[in-house]
Amino acid sequence: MTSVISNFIRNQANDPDENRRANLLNIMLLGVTGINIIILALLLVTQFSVEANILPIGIGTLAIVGITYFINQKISGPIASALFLVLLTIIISVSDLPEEIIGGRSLFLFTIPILLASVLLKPHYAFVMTFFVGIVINVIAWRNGLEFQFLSPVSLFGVGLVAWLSAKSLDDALRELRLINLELDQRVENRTQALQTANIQLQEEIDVRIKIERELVVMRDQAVSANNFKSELLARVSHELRTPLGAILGYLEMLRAKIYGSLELQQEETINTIIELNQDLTRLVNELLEQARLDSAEVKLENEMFSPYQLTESIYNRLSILADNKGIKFNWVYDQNLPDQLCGDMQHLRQIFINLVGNALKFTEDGFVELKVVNVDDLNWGIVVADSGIGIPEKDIERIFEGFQQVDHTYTRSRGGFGLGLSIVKHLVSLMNGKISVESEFGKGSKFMVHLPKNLKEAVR
Amino acid sequence: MKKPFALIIEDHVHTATIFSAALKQVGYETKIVHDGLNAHDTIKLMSPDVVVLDLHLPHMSGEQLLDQIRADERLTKTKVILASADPLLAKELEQDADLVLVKPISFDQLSLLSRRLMPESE
Repeated sequence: MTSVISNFIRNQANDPDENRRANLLNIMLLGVTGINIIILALLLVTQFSVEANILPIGIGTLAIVGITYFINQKISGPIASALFLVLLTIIISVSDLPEEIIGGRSLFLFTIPILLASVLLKPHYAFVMTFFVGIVINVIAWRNGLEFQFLSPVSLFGVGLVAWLSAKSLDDALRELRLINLELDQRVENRTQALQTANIQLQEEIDVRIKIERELVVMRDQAVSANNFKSELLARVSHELRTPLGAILGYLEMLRAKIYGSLELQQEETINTIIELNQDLTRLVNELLEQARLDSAEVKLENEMFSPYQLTESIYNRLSILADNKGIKFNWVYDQNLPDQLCGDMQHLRQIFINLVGNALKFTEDGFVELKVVNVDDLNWGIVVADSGIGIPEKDIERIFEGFQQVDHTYTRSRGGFGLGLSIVKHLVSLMNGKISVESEFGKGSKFMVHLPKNLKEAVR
Repeated sequence: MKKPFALIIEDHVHTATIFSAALKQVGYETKIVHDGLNAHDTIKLMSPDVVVLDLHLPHMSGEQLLDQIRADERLTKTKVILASADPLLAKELEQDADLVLVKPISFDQLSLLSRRLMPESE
């Protein structure tokens, strides 16, 4: 029912003000139709006992209402409104005695079309309507032989003024409201658009990140497999190199042992040189093999009891020959506070000793190399290797524990080695939960300090 | 006097030649075998005084051959020198061997050490 009524009322005008007015007119027409029907129904019930000519007036009104509605919906709202107002004025003008209508008790009825004109048409039509009503009043006066009316149209003009003012302010308020609404709509639209743009950018960014992440995973896998391949290749190559190197050394020693007959002095010297070179080469290959083994995490530490004194002594005995050959003073200091037995991996400790002392001897031309084994505290012991060798420039100290680093390549080339010795030491020390540090002055010497747990088993548990 | 006899089990031909020369130099008579199965058969037929045993061999491992020697009652006096490039494996078998050498093994080193294992020096 409500939807039927609202469908009846709705008008399709484009201008919102015109639309509002046309809708208002439709409501009026609906009201008039309702009142008409009620009156006609009452007439039927009371058997036309009042005035018989009301019936055709009622039916005529209905017909005019229908036509007005048609004009309002299909042709023009303002024309329909004007028609309705004229009709209303005519109805009012015959609704009472002429003298009452033009200046008596029913004069106020004319305020209705004036007020309606201001809202159904434009606000200033209140004045037009007032003027029209003034004419109507005087026409009625003239037709009925009454006096010319001036005061009543003027008083109605006051009503017209009020109607104009209120309708105008209503119009202005509505217009302002519409503007606000429009601005709000625009704002919502802008916000929505900005959000959409931000959303698209965000999605693009996410896509880019996902892509980068995928690429990173691929690159990481490639790097890992390349590293594994490198370690494996290195290990295999080193292993394959060691066998023929061993054989070459063996044949050279056989030659030197004169298994294949006697030798000239120069031949013997040459063989000795080749043997030395072969030993250098073997050492390099061993370094590579050890690094590859450390890289591929194959190293497993042993936990065994050993005598630190015997270990230090055997290292000293083994390396003092090298020091004698170079004419370097090599001495060792052993801290008597150290316990007789320590727990650790003797094989790898031996390697730490040999690499540190071997390095010191390698990089010292004259002066001294000193090996100290010290009792650090209840839990730790330490190895200190000091020399008066070439030292390390300050800028290079951070890098010396990385693989393949020799500080001054031109100077150290003659000393051989891949510079893996310290890298291996560092790796082993950290596997044993120890610490290594270095102090050095370029041109004056270096001092390497290693701290290791007295009980490896406890320390790496 | 009969020369002591050494069996050299080593797949690398040159390394085997050098081992042989080192042992001959100190007075051994030597025989070289290059693969595990051959070595297995040779051990059954002969009673070497010294066996130089490589651990990585084709067809049969040095570890198995070591077990075979230690299980053979004829060979209780046989000395075994393990020659391995793998220090970890060599360490594991240390108990059953008379001497463990980690490759590369020099001619001089082997000559010196095998002299100590000569039957006369006992």
